[in-house]
Amino acid sequence: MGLLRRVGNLFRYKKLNAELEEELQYHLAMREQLNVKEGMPEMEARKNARRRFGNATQLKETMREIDLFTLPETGWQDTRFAARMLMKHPGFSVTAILVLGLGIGVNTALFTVYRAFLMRGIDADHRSEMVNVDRTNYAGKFDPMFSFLDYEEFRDRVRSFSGLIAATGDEVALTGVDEGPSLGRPMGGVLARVAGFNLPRLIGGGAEFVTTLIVSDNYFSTLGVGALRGRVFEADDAHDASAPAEVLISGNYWQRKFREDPAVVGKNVKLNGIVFTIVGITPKDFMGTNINVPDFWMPLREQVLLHPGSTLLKDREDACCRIYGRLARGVSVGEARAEMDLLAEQLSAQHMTYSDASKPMSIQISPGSPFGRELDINLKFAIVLIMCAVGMVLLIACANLAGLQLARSAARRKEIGVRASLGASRGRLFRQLLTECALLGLIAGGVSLLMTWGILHVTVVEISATLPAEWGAFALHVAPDMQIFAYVFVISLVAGVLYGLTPALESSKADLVSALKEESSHFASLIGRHSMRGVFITIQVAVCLVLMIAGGLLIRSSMRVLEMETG
Amino acid sequence: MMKQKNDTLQGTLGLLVLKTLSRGPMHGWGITLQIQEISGDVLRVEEGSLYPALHRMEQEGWISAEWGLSENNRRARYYRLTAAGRKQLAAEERNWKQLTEAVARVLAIAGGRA
Repeated sequence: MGLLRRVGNLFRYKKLNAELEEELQYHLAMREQLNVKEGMPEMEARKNARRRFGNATQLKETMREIDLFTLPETGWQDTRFAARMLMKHPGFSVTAILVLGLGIGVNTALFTVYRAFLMRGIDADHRSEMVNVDRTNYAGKFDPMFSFLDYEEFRDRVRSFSGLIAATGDEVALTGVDEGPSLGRPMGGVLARVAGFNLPRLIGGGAEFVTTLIVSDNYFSTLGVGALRGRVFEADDAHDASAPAEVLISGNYWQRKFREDPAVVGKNVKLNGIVFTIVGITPKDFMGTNINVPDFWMPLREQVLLHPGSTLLKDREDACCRIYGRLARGVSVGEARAEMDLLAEQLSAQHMTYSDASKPMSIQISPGSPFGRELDINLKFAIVLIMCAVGMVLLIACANLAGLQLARSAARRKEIGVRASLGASRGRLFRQLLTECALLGLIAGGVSLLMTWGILHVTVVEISATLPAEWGAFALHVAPDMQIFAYVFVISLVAGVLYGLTPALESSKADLVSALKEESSHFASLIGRHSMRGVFITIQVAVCLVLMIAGGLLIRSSMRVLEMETG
Repeated sequence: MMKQKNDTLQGTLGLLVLKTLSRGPMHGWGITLQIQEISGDVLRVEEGSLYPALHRMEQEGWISAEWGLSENNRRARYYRLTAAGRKQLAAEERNWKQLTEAVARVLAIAGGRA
């Protein structure tokens, strides 16, 4: 009930103040009267009455805190005051918010992309069971490609996997769709239109290039993914040679090209001039073992239709495919590797003597990833550099904020001193500054979320819209990753708050009188603050220098990554 | 000199206030006077501690307050003991008695040996 009354008191704050004043006034008046009666001069009597109360402001403050439900009331008051303080120094506030917002925003955006794009495993059911199968050849070079015949042997003879799949990419010309649906597709993003660098994607006669992932029959059943509509390829399909060849269309291409027309299943499309029947639609954004969403999926056995005379299915030396497997229950990576190694040794005897595959090699099994290990190694350096650079941006942001707060703490010493001498308790001052920092941080957080969204939108959505469609659709969920955001946000908030609280901490050391005097008397502490600032400037220059060097290295190495043949 | 006499009062202020109020509703000024008078000028209540204590006890629900007219026709805030306050008073009185008796016993023994 005490609590209820206190909350109720919140709504009659003014009245309460007046009542408190009246109650104390009564006491003062009575004391004064008594003093006079006892023979004190009137002035003396009044002074004496007041002196007995001690610090009146402080007393009232204490009593108000008792009367009111302290936290929400002062919290709200603090927030309002903090907002006023921030508005009063727009230069500081805007700078701090932008610095912090940028730091948080860039970090969240990059780590989001990193997680969504590079840390993504294979797009499958129970993806932790999926592994990449690669090999290291006799020269110690990493080689992810196997021939189809080798793959078949592995698939049929190795027991360590509940499923072993193969995939290879291709680009084919889509020259016709029976009953042409409207071919118009919304092209490019804003950036592409503004910059005007749409790449030509139409080839003669209204045909267009589409990406196709050519996969083993058991691909979808092993990944554990079904069709959105129609059906997927089945491992045990009885293949009727006279039936038209079949393809799957990706949900993304279906949406883009056919405007989600459900009647597309069963229709024929002409790829490289050959008629294929669309038997199903894969779920939107499903990428399988690919790094992006292809337009079509096709069984490996049909590859020869696209390229007449292709020996892919018959030539043991035609290293065409990457292999991925799902580890059987209870089988370790080591066991699978041992079994694969044994079989690979037997298979090497069947290879031509000029082939690398005929020489001793070892199988590598690594956690499933659409990026091969080779690309990983090349990318790793660039990624580490990017992450370091971005981390340093955050560091600089925090250092800048700390510098700003320190500079302001000097200016605020007097204000704090005045408030303390007027009876504000240390806890109250502390809370006030904390509220100010938190408010600043919250606003910066909001700004940084917008910034993150903007950065992600520009880098991922717009750039992928600008890329030629032949590269396939980048299916990235580019909403800011909230987990990462929370992490970065807390780091910068802690940094900001720590330095925002310095004035309060200092005021607890300094005596009020000297705080009330001008700074000049505080020569020693001034030097202290200056050296603190000096440290921050030094750190910042150092970090900027490292950032510049790292940035230079990054550009060089990413250029080399781009030049690299990714097979 | 007389002023310093009541430093130990702080802890027992609540008990004294409750006891004073058990004789009837009173305002802060009246409580100050009564405690001083009854104690024969030995105990003096400091204003700086009395009012926070009163308000705190009000929050606890031991006393309730209402505005009334004082003897000299001024508005004053009168405090009245509630049922919960009566219980609290009884408990504190008991505690106080136990404490003083214990202290007295210790003093008696110590005095006997000395």
